[in-house]
Amino acid sequence: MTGDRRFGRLLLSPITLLYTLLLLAPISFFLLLSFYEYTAFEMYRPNLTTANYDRLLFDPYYRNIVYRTLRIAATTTAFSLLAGYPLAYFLARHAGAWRGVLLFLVIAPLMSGVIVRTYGWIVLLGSEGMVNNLLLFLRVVDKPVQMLNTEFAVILALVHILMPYMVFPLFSSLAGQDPNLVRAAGTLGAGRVRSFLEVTLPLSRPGIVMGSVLVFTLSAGAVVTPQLLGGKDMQMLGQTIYELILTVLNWPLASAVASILVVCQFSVIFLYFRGARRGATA
Amino acid sequence: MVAAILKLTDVVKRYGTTLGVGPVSFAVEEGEFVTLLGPSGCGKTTTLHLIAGLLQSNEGNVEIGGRDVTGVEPQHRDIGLVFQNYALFPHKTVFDNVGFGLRMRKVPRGEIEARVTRMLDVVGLPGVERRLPRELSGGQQQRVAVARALVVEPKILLLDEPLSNLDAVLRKRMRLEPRDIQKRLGITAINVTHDQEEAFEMSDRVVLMNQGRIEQIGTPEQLYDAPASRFAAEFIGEAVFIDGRVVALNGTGAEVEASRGFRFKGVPRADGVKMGDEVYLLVRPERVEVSLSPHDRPDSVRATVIDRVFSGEQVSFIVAVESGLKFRAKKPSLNAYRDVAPGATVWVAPVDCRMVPRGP
Repeated sequence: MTGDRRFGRLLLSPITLLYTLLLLAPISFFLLLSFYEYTAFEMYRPNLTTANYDRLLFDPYYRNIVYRTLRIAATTTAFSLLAGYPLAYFLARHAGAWRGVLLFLVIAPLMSGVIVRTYGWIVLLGSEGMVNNLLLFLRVVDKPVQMLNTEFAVILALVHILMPYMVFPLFSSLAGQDPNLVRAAGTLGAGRVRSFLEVTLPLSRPGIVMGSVLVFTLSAGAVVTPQLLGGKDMQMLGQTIYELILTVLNWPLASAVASILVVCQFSVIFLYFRGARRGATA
Repeated sequence: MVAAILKLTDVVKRYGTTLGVGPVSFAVEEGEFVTLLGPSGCGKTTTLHLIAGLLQSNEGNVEIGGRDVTGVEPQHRDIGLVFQNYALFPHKTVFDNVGFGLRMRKVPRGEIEARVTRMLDVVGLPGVERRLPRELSGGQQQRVAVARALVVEPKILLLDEPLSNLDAVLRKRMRLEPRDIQKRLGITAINVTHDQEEAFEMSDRVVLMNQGRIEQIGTPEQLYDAPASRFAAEFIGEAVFIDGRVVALNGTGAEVEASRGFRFKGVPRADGVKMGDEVYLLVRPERVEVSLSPHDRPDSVRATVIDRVFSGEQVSFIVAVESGLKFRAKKPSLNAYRDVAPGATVWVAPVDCRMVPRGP
């Protein structure tokens, strides 16, 4: 019994080591750094201050970036869920022999790089792009619509790129359900919609939570997609960190931005999981 | 004659081009407990799902309570179904599980509470309303599933192998429970199982199925005593078959000669059997009389015990009569048979033998 437990701990030791060295240590470092004073010559001086956070929360430029990031991440999550749920439902319930092929197609985008996929959207959405050409040809519009460098383009591309992260948790929570449950609801007098709302949807809650958390955190931390499709005016927190570290060389402020991002992500995860647990015991 | 509450007429279900079930026809009277019995893949569950409306037939029709429900969705068929794995909603309490059907029928809240409480009383589970299904034992889950199916007062209760998820001991104990509830409420029930003993103990009538077709319909006694085919005889109870030929016929009885000249006398005549027909002779091992002296029965013949198998409440003998014909006899393990060992001489008399027509 105790030997078993010791062996169990042994199995966890590589991941513990990895997390301590590569995650906890750097996080602690930049957390500390975010409270240090910035100077132009030495970059940081170990004097504790909240100046970096003050700047983020009260300077409208940075505050806007925080809001924009949260807004884009929330919208992306909502649309991923709306588009991903029917897809996952179809894959789990109706795909039959095609399930394997379709699941492969869902993962396929992950196999090409994020930059390639983003350039794909530039080709589609540009003012000379395919979408505008089609709209002009169909005479829906009479001059090209501005689509690149908008929040719309960023959200669209993020929904596309992050779709597998939404679909897979949903798929497994739907495929794991006993098909007899919906049949039972049917024999008890529930129609298709009622069965879905009473049985399928509540039982897929773990998938909804997991998929949403993944998509929210990944889109809140996105760098390349907003950079290429959003342009200068659509900056998000990820790009800000990147710029502050590599171009501006203000690591304390970059650390504060990163801390804010991590706090936002973790509070969303926390709220979601707490909600999920409450839902499960209600 | 009581009106048929369920009637299947020439129902056929195909999967692509392969035949699943059919054509199947039978009727069930109000208040009956009928079991669909057969080996796995015989189409018994498919037939049940056709009655429930979970599957739709390709041909034929299904009537419930005098109404043609062919093509009607399950929620409009007025049936209650207990699934093999119970299919209780894992995220809902026992109360919400049992009350689900009433809620779907827009029954007022107060009445739902009263009816759920009463039904949980009927199945012997009072006071578990607030629990989740996973907090109950297998037997309790089964009762909740029965309560959930019955609370909406369906015309027919359908049971899809309701005992197969229970362990062997519980399974035997729970066997009479669905029937007990069914008789108390006076409802009609259709059960599915592959276990012959279970089918016999639970049912008023049994529908024996094989390869998508009905092999025989009858009371358990009819199926056991007068099997219509070799399959029926083999699937139900233990059976020994001896090849034979009809050598004499009178009114209702016949004399059948087995290989090597051994003759069985007074075998009830099966329908359509003529002089000289090749038939199977069905010997039920527990109906072979075994005695230690020739004087107990005038019709007994001398035989030698070849093997003896003791299984607790019963003991089986393989015996060979003088012509060399061998068969099995199964007796209660009474003291009288204690000393009958291989090599011993006994007198045997196969009684209640049946003639089973040889199929084409």
